[in-house]
Amino acid sequence: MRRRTFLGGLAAGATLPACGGDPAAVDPTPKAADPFSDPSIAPLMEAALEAATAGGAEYADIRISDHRSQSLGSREERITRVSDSRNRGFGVRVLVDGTWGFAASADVDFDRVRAVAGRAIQIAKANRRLQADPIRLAPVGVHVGRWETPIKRDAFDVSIEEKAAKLLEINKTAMSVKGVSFCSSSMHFVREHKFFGSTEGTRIEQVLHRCNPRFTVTSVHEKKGSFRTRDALCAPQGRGYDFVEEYDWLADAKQAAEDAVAMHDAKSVTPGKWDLVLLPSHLWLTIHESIGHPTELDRALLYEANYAGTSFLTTDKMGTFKLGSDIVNFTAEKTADGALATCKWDDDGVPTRDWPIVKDGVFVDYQTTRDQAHWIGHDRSYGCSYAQSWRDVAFQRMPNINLIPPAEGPSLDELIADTNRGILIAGRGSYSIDHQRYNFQFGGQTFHEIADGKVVGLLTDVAYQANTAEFWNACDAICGPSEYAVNGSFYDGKGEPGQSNGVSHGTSPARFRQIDVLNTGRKKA
Amino acid sequence: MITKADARKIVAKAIAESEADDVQVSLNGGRRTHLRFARNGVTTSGTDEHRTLSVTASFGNQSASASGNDFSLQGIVDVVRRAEAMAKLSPADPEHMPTLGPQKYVQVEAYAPTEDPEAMARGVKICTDAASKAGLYAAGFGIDNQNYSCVASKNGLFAWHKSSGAQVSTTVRTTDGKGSGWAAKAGNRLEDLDFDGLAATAVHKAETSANTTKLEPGTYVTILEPACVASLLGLLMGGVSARSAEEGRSFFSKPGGGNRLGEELFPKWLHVRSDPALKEAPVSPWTGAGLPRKARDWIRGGALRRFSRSRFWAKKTGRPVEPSGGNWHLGTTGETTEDLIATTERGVLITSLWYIRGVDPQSMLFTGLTRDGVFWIEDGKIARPVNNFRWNDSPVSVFGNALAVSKSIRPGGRGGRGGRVVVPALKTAKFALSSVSDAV
Repeated sequence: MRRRTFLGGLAAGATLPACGGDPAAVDPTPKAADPFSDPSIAPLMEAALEAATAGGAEYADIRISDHRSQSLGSREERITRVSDSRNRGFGVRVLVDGTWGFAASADVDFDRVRAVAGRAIQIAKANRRLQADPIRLAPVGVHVGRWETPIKRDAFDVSIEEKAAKLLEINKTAMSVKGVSFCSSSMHFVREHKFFGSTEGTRIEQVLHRCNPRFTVTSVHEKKGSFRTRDALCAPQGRGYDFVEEYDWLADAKQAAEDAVAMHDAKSVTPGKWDLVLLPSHLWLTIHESIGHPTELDRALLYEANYAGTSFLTTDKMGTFKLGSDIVNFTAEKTADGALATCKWDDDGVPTRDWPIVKDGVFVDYQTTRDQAHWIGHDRSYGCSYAQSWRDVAFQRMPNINLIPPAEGPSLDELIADTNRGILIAGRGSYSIDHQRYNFQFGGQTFHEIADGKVVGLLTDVAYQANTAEFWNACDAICGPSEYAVNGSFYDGKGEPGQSNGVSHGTSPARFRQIDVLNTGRKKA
Repeated sequence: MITKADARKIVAKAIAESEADDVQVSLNGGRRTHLRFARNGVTTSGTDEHRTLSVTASFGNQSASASGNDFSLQGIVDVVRRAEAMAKLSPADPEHMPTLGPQKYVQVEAYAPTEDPEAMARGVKICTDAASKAGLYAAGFGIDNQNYSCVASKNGLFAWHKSSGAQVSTTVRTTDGKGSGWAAKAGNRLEDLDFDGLAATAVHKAETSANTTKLEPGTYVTILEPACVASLLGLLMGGVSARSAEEGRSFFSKPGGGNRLGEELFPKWLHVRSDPALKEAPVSPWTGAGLPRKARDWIRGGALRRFSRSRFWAKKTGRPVEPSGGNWHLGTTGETTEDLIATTERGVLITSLWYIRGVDPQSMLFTGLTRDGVFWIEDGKIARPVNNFRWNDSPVSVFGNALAVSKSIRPGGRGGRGGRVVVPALKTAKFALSSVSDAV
């Protein structure tokens, strides 16, 4: 891990009036050997945790973090946006008589960490009268260490010129196709550098990298008064700039341009029952919405009832409910290289791991955090706690959840050849699902008709609707490991106040029999 | 929370430190306090102060922005230098516009912070007690915000705005999971929120929504409560950009070129306007770049009357600059939702819409679900609770087929995200409920 000066410069202390604390306050002697790349962190942690303990906390933790974010936007021959942000601060979480309290500040200094710890204690004490069931934390042990997302090239070390040139090259490639009217492209990079310390002795430093490059091609047909779009088929990754370098943008941009133009004259789908062959660039989102969210334990037990919703997978179904066909197996993890939710420890300080969610089609387990594990009789957390920034409360967020490809699964060509009448769907399109995760509707980026085992042409106006369990029980084929690919979401929303989480889903192409397809084309209102 | 005088010093320092040809400096920050509850008890609660300094530096037509949350001198210099370094490496933008100079803004009073630190916990207890007493489970969320924003430029622009706002929502469910009711409130100040009314509505909806009977999918006369109308109005007004329409990629584009401004799409009585000084939902009298917002009619006399238009697009097309509205007000008749029900022979009443996503931008087709209270109306009365639905429809159609509206209110939203919107319940002649959702 490279050494970054997290608080570098603060000691200069040249503050403007009313804008900060006292960064030059006296440094107490750290009580533990310094495990961090920045020596200023450990003493601040000790000060906060001591203040929390002195205030009556039976448990406390502190997250100090520095979030970097950089984005560039473009359209046609223009760079429309270049922005770079840095956001630093800390949050203290305390448990007092079984009630959580949390407070946060952007001023990372000794006076403020103590004051904020005290404020968190006040909040916890004030809320005790509202506490229905005291919080219980699953044991976790003491963990000390550092970890960084394995990357080949840090996006924040790549020049703006190089990134801008890449975007303009993508746009130029798409715009060179006759009939293309517009192309916009963008890149967004995030680097979270965070330090975690708890009263149990855990001391962790992690640097997480994520990237989200994308483009959209638009073709306007003036005579018809119609426009069609096609987005990139790639998805964000938990990787550095090396992903931008490795993905074949120009091939995707050219194909996207040809697709967008061709869609004006493509056949509008006949609504009804179709067999669907869903590619990884599309199926990840269906997995995310219909398997990822309903297996969140907080949803199942009504803790998300006011916002994200509850779950049809209630706890009485664990171990017995047939969620999918026998070939359907899902594993949750936060350990896969390149996946968006991957880290070594979660924001409770729990080491990450993998575990089965669905086994041979049967729903077998949930996603959990330390304060949830006991709800279902578990004696340890699966490590699913995450907060999007220093000022947000950590809570249960989705790990990477993957559809396991059977070792002897067919190739994509074999699967298509085995399909008599179907639709091959690629890319992330429109998506919507109800608050208990029964009824969903998905679109896509491209839809190709399969007839008699062959791809015969482009379709438009396609969306499919299904019930989650009926859909996964209709899965009769999953391609083998050689077709496996990982896609994901950069901004998965949950919680109040809302927080964003990056999460990936790996899968091979899969087939679903006789799914309801509707035609979304309609006359103008 | 910094003061206007602090803000003036910080932005002046940033501008003075910059060596760029042109520079725009923004400050945004504030304090938020929130409390979340479920199963009739508190779950998480917190408070934080946050702030961001953003600098956009320009050398000729080359621009870039940087931001940070360290307002010390060194922090300010760091942001300025990062913006400048990136701007020098950025390609020239042919659509670059210089920053604004001094502007005049309408007076907006939007800051009325809470004076009672116990108000949120007390209000939440009203919700959890009401649910417990009725043998139900309440979950919910309350948030109190105080915010400031400031923008200034090397060309002499300086704008400052402070605002406050509070929102609370609760979902009350029957313990057997067969009934669910939702209610939300929003206001400029926490003390203005009616927690008793909120709890009573959610408890009543939970109890009356239980044990649904099946209603087949179809297109029905539908009464949409204000929270639903707020969602759909936001979608409609989010699509009124001049550039998108004139580039041929919006519902408001015309085949062969041009736009659909003035085309009769809505009932003549439907009136949508924006006004930064709207008493129930005030917004900043300026946009992020400092453009002045003024009271505007957007839909009137059956048609869309104006588009939002950026400074560049205004210059290119020779038309006036038009900032986006910031808030929306849909005119009222003074009736109540009960009046709308009383005049409905057969139809559906929907409490809340959920998971709305675009399906076809060409026709402004969206899909979504209903949630937490759907009822069948017969002979002017609520006859029975019915199942939830997926819907596929367009806000143009919903508002275009509007039959009547009730008195306007400012509805709250989920997750404290209720917009600055003042809307009525609305009865539309047709709303397409495309399939059944088993969710409760």
